[in-house]
Amino acid sequence: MENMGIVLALTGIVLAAILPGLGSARGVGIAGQAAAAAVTEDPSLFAKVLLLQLLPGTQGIYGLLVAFIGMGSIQLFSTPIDLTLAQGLGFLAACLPVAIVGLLSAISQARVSISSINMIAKQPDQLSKAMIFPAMVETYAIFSLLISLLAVTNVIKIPV
Amino acid sequence: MAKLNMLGFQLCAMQRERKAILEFLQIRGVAEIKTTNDPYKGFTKTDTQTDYIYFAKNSGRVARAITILDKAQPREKVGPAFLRGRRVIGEERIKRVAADATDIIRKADRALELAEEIDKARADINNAQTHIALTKAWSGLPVSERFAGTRRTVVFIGSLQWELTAEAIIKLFAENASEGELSSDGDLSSRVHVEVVYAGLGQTHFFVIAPRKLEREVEQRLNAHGFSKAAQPSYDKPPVERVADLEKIIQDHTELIGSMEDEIRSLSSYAEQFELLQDYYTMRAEKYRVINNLAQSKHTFIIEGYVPERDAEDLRRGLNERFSLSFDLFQADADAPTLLSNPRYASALSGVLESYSVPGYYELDPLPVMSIFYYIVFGLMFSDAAYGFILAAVCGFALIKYTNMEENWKNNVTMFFWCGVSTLIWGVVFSSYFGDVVNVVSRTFFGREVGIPPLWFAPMDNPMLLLMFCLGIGVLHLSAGYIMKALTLIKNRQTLDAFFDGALPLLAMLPIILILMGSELFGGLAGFTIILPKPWDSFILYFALLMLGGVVLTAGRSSKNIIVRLLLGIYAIYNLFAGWLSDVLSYSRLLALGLATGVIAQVMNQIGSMFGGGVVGFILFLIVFAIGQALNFGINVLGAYVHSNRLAYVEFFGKFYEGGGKKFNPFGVHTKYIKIEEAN
Repeated sequence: MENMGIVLALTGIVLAAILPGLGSARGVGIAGQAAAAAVTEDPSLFAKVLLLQLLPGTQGIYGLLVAFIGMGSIQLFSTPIDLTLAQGLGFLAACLPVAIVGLLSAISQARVSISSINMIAKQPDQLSKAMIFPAMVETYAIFSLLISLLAVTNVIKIPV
Repeated sequence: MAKLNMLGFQLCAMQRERKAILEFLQIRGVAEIKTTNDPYKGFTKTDTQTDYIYFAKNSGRVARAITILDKAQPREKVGPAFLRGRRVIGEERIKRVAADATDIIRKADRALELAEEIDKARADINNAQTHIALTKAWSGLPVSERFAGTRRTVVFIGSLQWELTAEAIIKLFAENASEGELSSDGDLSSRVHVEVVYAGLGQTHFFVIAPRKLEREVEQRLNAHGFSKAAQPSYDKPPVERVADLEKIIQDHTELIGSMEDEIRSLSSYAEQFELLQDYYTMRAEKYRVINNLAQSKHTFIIEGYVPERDAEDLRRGLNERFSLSFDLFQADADAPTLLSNPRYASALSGVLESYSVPGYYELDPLPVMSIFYYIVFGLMFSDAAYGFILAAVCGFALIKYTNMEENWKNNVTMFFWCGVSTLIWGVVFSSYFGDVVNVVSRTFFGREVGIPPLWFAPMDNPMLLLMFCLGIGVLHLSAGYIMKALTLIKNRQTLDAFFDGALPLLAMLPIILILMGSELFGGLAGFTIILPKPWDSFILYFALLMLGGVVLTAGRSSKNIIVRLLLGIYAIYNLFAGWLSDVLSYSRLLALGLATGVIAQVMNQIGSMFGGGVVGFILFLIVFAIGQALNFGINVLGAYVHSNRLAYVEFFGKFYEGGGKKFNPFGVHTKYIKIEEAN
């Protein structure tokens, strides 16, 4: 049981890598279908719809980022710090914002991306407007990234 | 002022000079022509739709011919079209093209005709190839499939399913079939001759020769086994000869295609003239669309529209020198279109502004203020000196190399150039050069870690301080929004409103933020506090309360009922706090995206350095570094662009800007290949 702290911390790190990754994979996947459909009609739209397809992909990167920073802050690559149970739990909790918000926001963002792709198919010159709508959703993923990032770097300061 | 003053104009001239006047206006390209909905008494509108369609169609025809020529013989071009921009040619050159139009379009039509012929010939070749494939299977047949026999013999030519030998087929005639009339004739196998022409792919082509008197019996037995007669060719020649004929057709057609392609290539010297002609037709089409909107009488016509004050006198002089007409200028109404004029750093953002909305008649040009903040927040989000340098260098190079770039592209490239410069600066301030590549390379390959110290501090060392800095940028951005609101209202002579809606909320919020910066909560987050010196702290507090009181009293002034007015005022306070809270927190994305850029770059470097030192390690590092940094660059430049737009549209514009103007769209030369220089 004395290693429970580090186990919980790793669980958090892994969740931060898994969940937003899943969300982004699904998001980029469904947006990609819409993008392919738009390119079938008009191949010159490729670059534009590719940008829109990529927008829900950032959550996966945010998750990855938190996972990397997390691994760094418990010094997983050299000699892992001994974490108490409380620190471990705190670490796990710190990973949850980006894990959960990342998962769900990627999918919501993909839905908007799909609509924007359809919009580009009809109005190819409205790219910057089409990009703003998905970006609105991304705001919340960014906030969760921020909180997770700050929490993960500071949680080991919890007094033993 | 950055928004140009628009004048309305009314031009009245003689019909016989109509063509020349319109062409002059078109080449000047400084006047927007208004649709006359309700012509003056004695004037009517002419329907020129047919002429318009005629020229638009011709333009399309020549455009197709250009595509054909370019496909047959690609021309050497420097860079993509949007960077090269359009050629500048003199007015007399386009007049020459206009004079030669019939000759040139004949050549274009010839190119279209040839392309069509080539397509037809290709289809014929395809057709012949299909036929050859079908006929080849019969090539062992010495006669035509139509051959039915001689006077004494009968010949059946056709196929059966399965791959069979001649013996097996003969056996079919030997069967002493028990049922029906067949049985009476017994064994026919010695009286027929069978030759297999082809056996394969699950079927057998063959022919049977039999005495004519057995025709019926042989046919019945064949049919009983599912015999199908060979398809009848259209003429009487054995398959081998027909294949030869078809091959001759293919050869002829191929030669024909070759010669036609040569002819198309020989036309390629006309490509440039085609481009001129296409643009000439486009211009004519645009002119006829304008004529459609003019009020005309038998001898005169009227043009109404808008011209920027800047160009108005020049235009008047130019018109009066050349034609006899009356040209009146007057102050334009609120329907006037908007034309902005700014220094390059600001006008570079025209595209971003236009995709939101052009300022309306009563609004200020937001570009000068907007662009400065845009560059700052973009740089904070992209935040890597090396990335910024690359972005600025690439854009700067494009600007120097392609001086003739189209206006909207020039704007975009200039915008990213300044974004790159800002990124470079912030990267130096926070010490990020491809993340931490200096440290990683020196540690891994030279054994001694060196780094470039940040000008201010490293973000990961004190993220909360950077967060506060980002929110501070947000406060400045929002304050600029309120100031813009006040200025807009002052411009429209609503000085009181400017004070109530622009100044009061800002003067209330800024001291409150200052007071909050002295609180423990803030100190805990940021690691520092700003405590105001003794007499000032209470002064500022009272000042803020006074301003808040002012907001409560004035925000609901549109209502006459005093109670409703106060309630509206209190609601405005709630909105003010909630709005500022969410708006300011929104700028935390600057920190998050800035950290993301730097940290992902560091992660890439770390992965690259995992292979250790030495030559192999260095090569692997280079590969991982190049791919990883390129990916990170792409994703983050996209993110920084999108979120800079968002901060401009939502947080900044939300304070003062509605847009709703109409972009000035002058009657001019909207062509693809050329710009026209006015003749003196």
